[in-house]
Amino acid sequence: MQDLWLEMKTEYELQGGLGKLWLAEIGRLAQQVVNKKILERLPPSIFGFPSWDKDDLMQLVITDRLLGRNQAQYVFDTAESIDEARKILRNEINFVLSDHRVPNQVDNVWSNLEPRLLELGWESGSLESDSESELHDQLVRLILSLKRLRNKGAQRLSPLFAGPVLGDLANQIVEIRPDLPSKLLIKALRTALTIISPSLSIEDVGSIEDSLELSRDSYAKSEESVRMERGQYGSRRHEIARDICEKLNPETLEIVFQKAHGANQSEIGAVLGLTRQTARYRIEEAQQYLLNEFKALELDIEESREVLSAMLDILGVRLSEVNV
Amino acid sequence: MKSKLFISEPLRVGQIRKLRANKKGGTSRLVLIAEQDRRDGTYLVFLLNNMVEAAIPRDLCLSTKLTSAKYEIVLMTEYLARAHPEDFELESVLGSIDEKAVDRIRLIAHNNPFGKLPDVITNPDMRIGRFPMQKYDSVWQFRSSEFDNFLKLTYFRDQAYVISVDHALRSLRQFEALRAPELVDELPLDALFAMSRSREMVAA
Repeated sequence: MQDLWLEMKTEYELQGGLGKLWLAEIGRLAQQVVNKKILERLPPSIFGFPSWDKDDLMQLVITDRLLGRNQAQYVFDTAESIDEARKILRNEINFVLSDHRVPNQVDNVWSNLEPRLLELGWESGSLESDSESELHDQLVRLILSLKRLRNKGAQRLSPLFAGPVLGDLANQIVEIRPDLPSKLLIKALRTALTIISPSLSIEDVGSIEDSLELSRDSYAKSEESVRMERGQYGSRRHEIARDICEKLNPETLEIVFQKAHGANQSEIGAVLGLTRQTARYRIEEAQQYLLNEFKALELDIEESREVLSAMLDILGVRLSEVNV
Repeated sequence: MKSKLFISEPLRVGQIRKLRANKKGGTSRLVLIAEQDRRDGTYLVFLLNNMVEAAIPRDLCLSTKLTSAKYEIVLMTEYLARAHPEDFELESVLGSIDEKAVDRIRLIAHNNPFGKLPDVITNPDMRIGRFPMQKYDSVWQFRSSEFDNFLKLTYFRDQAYVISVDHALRSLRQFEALRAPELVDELPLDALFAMSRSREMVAA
């Protein structure tokens, strides 16, 4: 059998665009994505589809991305094999889904933010039109600077922000003005999340497990990371922190990372793909493990705190954002 | 189909070409030729991608008008490395940018090694990326894998310096004051990543 990618390239050149082979390949990939969504029990309405139909998805991929943005040509120019072509095409499918998901994500964030604002005494008001665009930009910058929960692109609707992060955002919004119109806030969320959202779907980075391994390796192997943090925590503390990090499995590392951001049990469960109850057990296990490690090393409270801080720094949690 | 007998256009600065996988492995990628070294015939290249949505403020989104390519392209200013001429695909030139524009991009990126690229670089056909990358998010992971792949496609002569972050590294070496931890936040994330790989500094 001749190489499929070679045949697809020939077809593309002969027809000056997508032909039967391309449509069949895109169809196959779209079907795989649709099957996955059905398995995950994600309602099609989230992405604006009346039902899960691969033809609908395929049509959008072709019109929006492959023709609309000429990404078919990019695939043609870049890919060297059918596997590489499939990788790029899969990304295109995910970008389409992300683009169509944005309003739901805004709704989700807003429904979590609004009660926090109300608690702080916020009330939707009105604005003079000349200050609106300036405030809008300020809010967008604020939202974009929030620490997001990790999203490896594997979960389409995993939470974007931990509860305490949204709490801080609510405080800052009320500080700006306690009567900012809800319309303006939603508009700012939409602008900010439209930038963030499509990028969450990049799938070229492997599965969640791979990414966790990658994160783990990237700091576990970074001897050089010692130098900068030594000044802050003292070299011994930092070395202890690194040793502990190297011993922990990816899931526990993720739990520590998420806890540092104030994520609750459900949020950690969502990130790890566990039920809240299982997540609770894992969190307890992780905490117990850390306590035992500190105990075995005979660290006092102050030393334990410093080691934990160094661990969080190694894990990529900026200290100013720690909320433990 | 193209004939097997064709006259390839010589490699020139400003061209967008495909860089193929070599014996080190990797996956082929598009690159922009930024400089030719006439002494050994090698080329300095910028890495390109198609992820306009994931372009960070150290990247430039180049319009089709500017590049004459058939799609919008993202130029990753932090990813500059040397490639052997035999690794380029010679059959086609996928687009090109004026040589002066390439020099200007290099100069501005080099002179502003920290944080967002300055607005002076932009024109309607060259936008600065907007994605607010955070450590370990999906874009960070994407860039890390692109970095690894780019290292396979290219090489660097002086092992002491890693791709275009050499400026940041030299600054950090030369000016002790820059080791201040608060400045780490200002460093480009890609520079930090590269530094961590080069075993020079923190991977924060």
